[in-house]
Amino acid sequence: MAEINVALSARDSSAPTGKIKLSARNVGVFYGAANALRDVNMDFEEHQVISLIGPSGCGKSTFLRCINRMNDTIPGCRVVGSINMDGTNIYGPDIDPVELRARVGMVFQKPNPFPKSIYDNVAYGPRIHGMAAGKAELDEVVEWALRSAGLWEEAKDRLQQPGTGLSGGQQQRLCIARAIAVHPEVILMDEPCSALDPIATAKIEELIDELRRSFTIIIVTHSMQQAARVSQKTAFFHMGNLVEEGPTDVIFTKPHDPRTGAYITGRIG
Amino acid sequence: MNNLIFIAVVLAITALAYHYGRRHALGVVGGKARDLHSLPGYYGAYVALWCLIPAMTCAVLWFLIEPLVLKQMIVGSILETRPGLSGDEIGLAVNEIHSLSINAYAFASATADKKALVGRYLEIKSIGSIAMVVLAFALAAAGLYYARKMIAPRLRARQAVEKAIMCAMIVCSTIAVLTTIGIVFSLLFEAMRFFAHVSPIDFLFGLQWSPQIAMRSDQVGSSGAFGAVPVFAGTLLITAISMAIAVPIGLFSAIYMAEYSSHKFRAWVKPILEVLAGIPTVVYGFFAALTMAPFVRDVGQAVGLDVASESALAAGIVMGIMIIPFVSSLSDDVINAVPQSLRDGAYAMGATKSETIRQVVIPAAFPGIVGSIMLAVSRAIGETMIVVMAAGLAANLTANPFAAVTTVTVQIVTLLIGDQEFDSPKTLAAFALGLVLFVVTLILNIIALTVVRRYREQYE
Ligand SMILES: Nc1ncnc2c1ncn2[C@@H]1O[C@H](COP(=O)(O)OP(=O)(O)OP(=O)(O)O)[C@@H](O)[C@H]1O
Ligand SMILES: [Mg+2]
Repeated sequence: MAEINVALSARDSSAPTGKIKLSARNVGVFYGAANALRDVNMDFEEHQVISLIGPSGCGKSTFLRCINRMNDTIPGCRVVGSINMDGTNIYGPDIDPVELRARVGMVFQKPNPFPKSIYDNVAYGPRIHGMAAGKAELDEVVEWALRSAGLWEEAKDRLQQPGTGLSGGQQQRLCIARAIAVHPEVILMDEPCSALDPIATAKIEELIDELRRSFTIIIVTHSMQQAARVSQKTAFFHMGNLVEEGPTDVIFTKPHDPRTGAYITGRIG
Repeated sequence: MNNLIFIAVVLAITALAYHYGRRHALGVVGGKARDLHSLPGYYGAYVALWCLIPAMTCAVLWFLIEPLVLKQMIVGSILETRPGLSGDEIGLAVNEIHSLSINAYAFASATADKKALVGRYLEIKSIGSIAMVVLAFALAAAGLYYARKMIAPRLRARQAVEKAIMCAMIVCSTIAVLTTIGIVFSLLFEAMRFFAHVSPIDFLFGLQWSPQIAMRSDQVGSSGAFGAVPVFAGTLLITAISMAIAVPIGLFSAIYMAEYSSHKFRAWVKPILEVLAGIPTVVYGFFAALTMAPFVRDVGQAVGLDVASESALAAGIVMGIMIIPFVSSLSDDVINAVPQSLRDGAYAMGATKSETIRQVVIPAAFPGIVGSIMLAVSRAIGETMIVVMAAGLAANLTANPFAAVTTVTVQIVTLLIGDQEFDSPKTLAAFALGLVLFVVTLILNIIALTVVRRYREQYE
């Protein structure tokens, strides 16, 4: 626990550096012959929340899945271009996608806890990556992850009960706890609140703001308000192209591209 | 034939009633189906059911009580010609007349007295049938009339028809349950008769099985021993061997098909595996007896083991091969049914493919996998043909897979195809074996169900 806190505060102090964590260069994705994403160039700063917005089917999820190479698991999907993480191309020949995914966590649109107990769900990542030396250390990691995900108070008395028995919002926070338990550097969230009610959504948004101190967060959302509330930077996608990106307040108040303005004010979508 | 015509006519009337009811319902609202409470077809079905059910009920009831009525009616005539018969003799006489009435050859050589009685019998029978047919049609007509009068735009025809369908389903499931109970009771009843000869303790715990019984009193050495332990041990041994073959092979091929193979491979291999399940067990028996048993014996001799030409191992291996598709096909289905989102979740955590399968997919599919294995076990326990052909009939009490053994089902078959009279202990022992087999499979099923349920509670 102490080490973790030290790690966190170390990260805290490094928060305002503005260091580039990820940079995508000419990224394109093909599903078979269909070109779902073209020529995306974009930088992601450390300790920021970046939101990806755009009409349905424009390629937001596709781009998100490029960042932890989840597209590798889809038959027939091909990614071109490069994504550098701390200066190394994650599509380079000596990168193991399995290792990469321990550094880039992901939270899905629909909560998908494993059919295991709450404890085992959170302990899953630390266990497969051999991150905890013993039971006591594992307990600490689980408690820290659940606390960070704002689920500890609700779950501490039922750690051995199935994770699938939680409410939808609790399940989503469990999935967030599961993702952060391995101390990733980046967390990808694909519409994490679309299945949740406003109160659970507000909790998760608060949580995202908290987590920003320790992680870089990239979030796909269909809610303009949510993008405005949680993110420092926003990127607008349209029909497989990255149309525009920039500080969230600029995108929302003075967008350069007419399509961005039209989408934000609800005229295309 | 008569009955067939009757049923055909009733069905034809029902069909007409359907159309009539439909048309009438539409007529009542002037063709505007929207004003009817239910779709017009439901009114048709409503009228049709009111025709069909009374007529068929009448026919079924008659079918059930006809023998009783006929007996009552003919007894008077029999007593007129042959007064002073006792109760049993009357029963015999009635039976004789019944059989004369359906056997033209015997009828030709019967006495004039009896011919007269048979004539009377047939006369009563045909009057009864005609009365039944008339009554059935009258009921159908009454039903039609009633249903027609009921038809109104507000009549809840859909609810009525659905209720009738639900009743039909209840009747069907009751029949299934009653049949099961009937089978259990007939087993129980015959087993009781067996236990009157042989004490249950001797049967359940005896170590000696040789059900030969002296057919003549001066025969020696065949007093019969009914200790069932060797027989059950044989079943257990062969089932264990076959499961040791079928579960790993079936499960691994299911995992390969569901998680690793290409779509094309799966589309080819799965049907081929399922063909294994369609091969008649006699064919497996040939394979076991002619190929596997000699092979096992040769291999055993090559490594210096003493192997019988009929061995539990040969039968168990072939039975295991037969059962593979039960495990693989069902497990493949349940593994495929595990939501992709769970796999994605594991991959996103940095799990490798095999970790994902072992730690997430298989646990999620576990209840279904247990179900498929249970099905395989009951197939193995119930399998007879392969064992008869490849494992022999000798009731050895042994755990040695190279020895000849026998199983419960095989013994049941051999006990029942003998030429003993039906109430000898030898024949009745088959029912006792059957009863114990039934109880054992029941317990296995209950255990499996509880395992699955506990697991579900924990994980769903
Ligand atoms: N597995 C796949 N196979 C083939 N085509 C796909 C696949 N996944 C996505 N696509 C296609 O790629 C395009 C982009 O899809 P993507 O899921 O990235 O959209 P999105 O922006 O996330 O939309 P939404 O907001 O509805 O989630 C769509 O045209 C989609 O049909
Ligand atoms: Mg999407």
